[in-house]
Amino acid sequence: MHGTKLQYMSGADEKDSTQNEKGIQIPPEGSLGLLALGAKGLEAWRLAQANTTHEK
Amino acid sequence: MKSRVKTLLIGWDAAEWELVDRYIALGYMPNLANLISKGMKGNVATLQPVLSPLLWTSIATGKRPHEHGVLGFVEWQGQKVIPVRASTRTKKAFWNILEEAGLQTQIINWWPSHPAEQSGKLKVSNQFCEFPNRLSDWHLSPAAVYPPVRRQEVADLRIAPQELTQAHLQPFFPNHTIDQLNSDPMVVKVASILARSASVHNVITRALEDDDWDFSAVYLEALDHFGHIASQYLAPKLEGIEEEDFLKYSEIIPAAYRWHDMMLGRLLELASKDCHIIILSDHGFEVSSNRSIKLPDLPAAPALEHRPYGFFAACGPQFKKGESIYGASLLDIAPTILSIYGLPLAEDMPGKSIGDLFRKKLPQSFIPSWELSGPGPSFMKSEEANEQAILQQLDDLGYIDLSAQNQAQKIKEEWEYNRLLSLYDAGDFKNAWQGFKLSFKEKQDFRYLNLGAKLLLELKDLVSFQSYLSSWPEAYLNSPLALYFKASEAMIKGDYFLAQKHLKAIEETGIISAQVYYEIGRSAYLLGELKMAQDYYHRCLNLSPKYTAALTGLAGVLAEQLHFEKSLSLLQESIGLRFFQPQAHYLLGLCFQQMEEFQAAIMALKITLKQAPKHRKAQQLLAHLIPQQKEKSVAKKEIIIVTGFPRSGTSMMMGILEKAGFSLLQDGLRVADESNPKGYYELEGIKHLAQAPQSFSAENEQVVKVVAPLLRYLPPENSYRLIWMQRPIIEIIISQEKMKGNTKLQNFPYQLAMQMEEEQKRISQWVGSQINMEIKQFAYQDFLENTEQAITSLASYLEGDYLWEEATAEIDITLYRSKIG
Repeated sequence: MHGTKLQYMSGADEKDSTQNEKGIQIPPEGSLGLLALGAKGLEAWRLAQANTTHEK
Repeated sequence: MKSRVKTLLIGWDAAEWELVDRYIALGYMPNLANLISKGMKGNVATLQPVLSPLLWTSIATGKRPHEHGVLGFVEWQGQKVIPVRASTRTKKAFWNILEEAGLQTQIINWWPSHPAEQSGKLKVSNQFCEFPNRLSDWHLSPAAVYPPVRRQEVADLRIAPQELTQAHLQPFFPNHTIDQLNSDPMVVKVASILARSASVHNVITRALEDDDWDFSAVYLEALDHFGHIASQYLAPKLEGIEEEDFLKYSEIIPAAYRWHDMMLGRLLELASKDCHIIILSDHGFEVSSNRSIKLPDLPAAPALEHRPYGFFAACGPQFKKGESIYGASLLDIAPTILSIYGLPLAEDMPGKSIGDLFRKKLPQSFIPSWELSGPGPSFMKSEEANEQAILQQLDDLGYIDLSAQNQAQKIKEEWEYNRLLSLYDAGDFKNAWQGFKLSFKEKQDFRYLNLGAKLLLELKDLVSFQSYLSSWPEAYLNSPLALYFKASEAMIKGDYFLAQKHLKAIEETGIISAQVYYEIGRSAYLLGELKMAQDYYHRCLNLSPKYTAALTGLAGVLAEQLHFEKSLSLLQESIGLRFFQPQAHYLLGLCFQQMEEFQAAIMALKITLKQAPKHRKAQQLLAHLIPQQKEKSVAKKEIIIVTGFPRSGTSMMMGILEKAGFSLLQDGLRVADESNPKGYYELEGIKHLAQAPQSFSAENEQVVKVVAPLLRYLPPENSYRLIWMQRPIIEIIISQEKMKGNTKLQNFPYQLAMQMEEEQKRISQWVGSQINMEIKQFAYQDFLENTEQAITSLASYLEGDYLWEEATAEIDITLYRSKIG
């Protein structure tokens, strides 16, 4: 449910979680917690989105 | 090795203590709670007008808006409206000063900071992240980032609202279904604010991680914007808000504060443990039951939702722990930051370093101004960013009106109105009224009538006030506004009964106003109706708990009722919010006296008289208390300082005091000459006071000559009694020129004379605010022309048995050689 993309938004479709190099779960839909990590969180999120798209 | 001093300043626009307290109690803000537990907290008084670009520029410069020149949200440039620019600022920001001192700075998203300044480690302007309609159009103005090489890095750190998902937005709308999230325009607004704040956060976190920095500052406007779109839905539900809307939107503000705490947690991780952290807001936000559901149709109307005290919390190696700061203002932030780095404060910054904050009393040096110390900032070549998006957002929030006709004139008027409000706030009523007469006297809108009447009443020009009031349009003549001003006029005249009658008439119209309740309370107090006064002060405080005048008023009532401890507690609260309150300090003195804490009482009364030298009750109570104290203990005596500008008669005064039998601290190294045939009575070491204040050493009652500009460097642990020699500036300059051998002045140096006048005013003001300094001015001319009277006045000031007749004989009228007129 939380991965649902809203209509006005562009970007990735609903995706599965992936892990970053430290083994932390990075949900491709992102989260406030990930946003709060700042630049590192953003990069990890974008990577998770890219990986999921690539896997698909 | 001395560790590197680091500071991270976090600006949260409109962060409100009432909400911070509420959410800390609920466990929503653990990072902030932890920071506060390790550091200091307090209120910080805002400035007028309460408009953010003006206030953040005041925080940056330590100067009021009429001095720093940023006076509105938008400006008129090149035949169009543009968001106000940093290059409009006419004064240096504290980061310019830090950079001059060789420190590495990062300034992210300050308002206004576009175009970016070309200095420091990283500057990212407030126009780096305006969202386009299509992501492919997302341009980043080259003028928004310095150094240019980092532009792409910054561009990549931005997040657009379109990128956010339900996972990000659901916490703001926990009761929304997916369909509601898709269709509700409020979600779009929240997404936009959230994406912008996340973008700013990305840039600051990257800068903290990767750069070598000494000072870093980041500004986030999000809490203000969340407040303006959603504060009316906060719990408890307001009458007039639909239950359905309350359920949908009441979690937006709590989620916004949680989001800020989450970002804070990350910043605290990235800043080193020995970093000073300061978080502050420029003003508070109305969240009580007085919240507005709909704002009036006035320029910058959202500012009506701003409260006058902002939020302040800080921790760091130089700061105390677990205490509160008192009486701080936004003007104190720049001086405080300079203090952290041991840099001198400037006499042209009206604020002070927040002394309560620091563990150790810092030796503080002063320079006249930082404006002269080096070139001002240079800016990136300005290029349009997505200005339309910024303007549209300001319009959406109600700060500006893009649909108005004749924008150029409208902006000009707005800037002038804001300049006059700033002058009013600074207590410069005379200049504010001059400006008002030129620009607005014929205007008949509510806000101009209000300002004009307030200025005339502050100037106590009741004749002009009556004439101005009679020129008001018919619709306003019997309005509550007119009644309020008639009441104020009656108060000035001492007709408290009539004042109360007018105020009660306002109350009868159904208006609920903290200000009106306070004034009714005050009139009742002055009429001796204590119960009524108490009731109305309580009503005022119920509406506005930080109404300092009402806290002080209520304390006065309680003191009259002999409830001194309760009164004391209210006074401490009131003075904690606003330090400049002579009546509150007087009442504090009275309460301490009644509680037999005489030393504290004397201190409070001395502060009263510093703030209001003619406060008769304080004078009387102090005169009563000081002899009592002298009997109880050996009174602490003072070092006597003879001061003034060179050639103002300081040497003559030293001679008088020597003859009277005082012990002079002098070394005789500078010998008598034609300019001072009787000698200079100086101490060579005093010239180095600024560099080595700790080397100053004098006995009590010993006399030392210290020229006025060096007074600031006297060690603060001593008490001083100052004799300030006054002489017309023209005479001083002529005498100084003669001393330099210039006997015929071709062109009188008016510029220098004006600077000296200003300098004299600044030093006098500073001395007046020091509790360890007594000062009395003596005119040089009086000693030469009315000798006996002048000596009597001097004897009365210095007290004690001295040889004043001998002293009189010291005066040599023939030495008055640069007399004018």
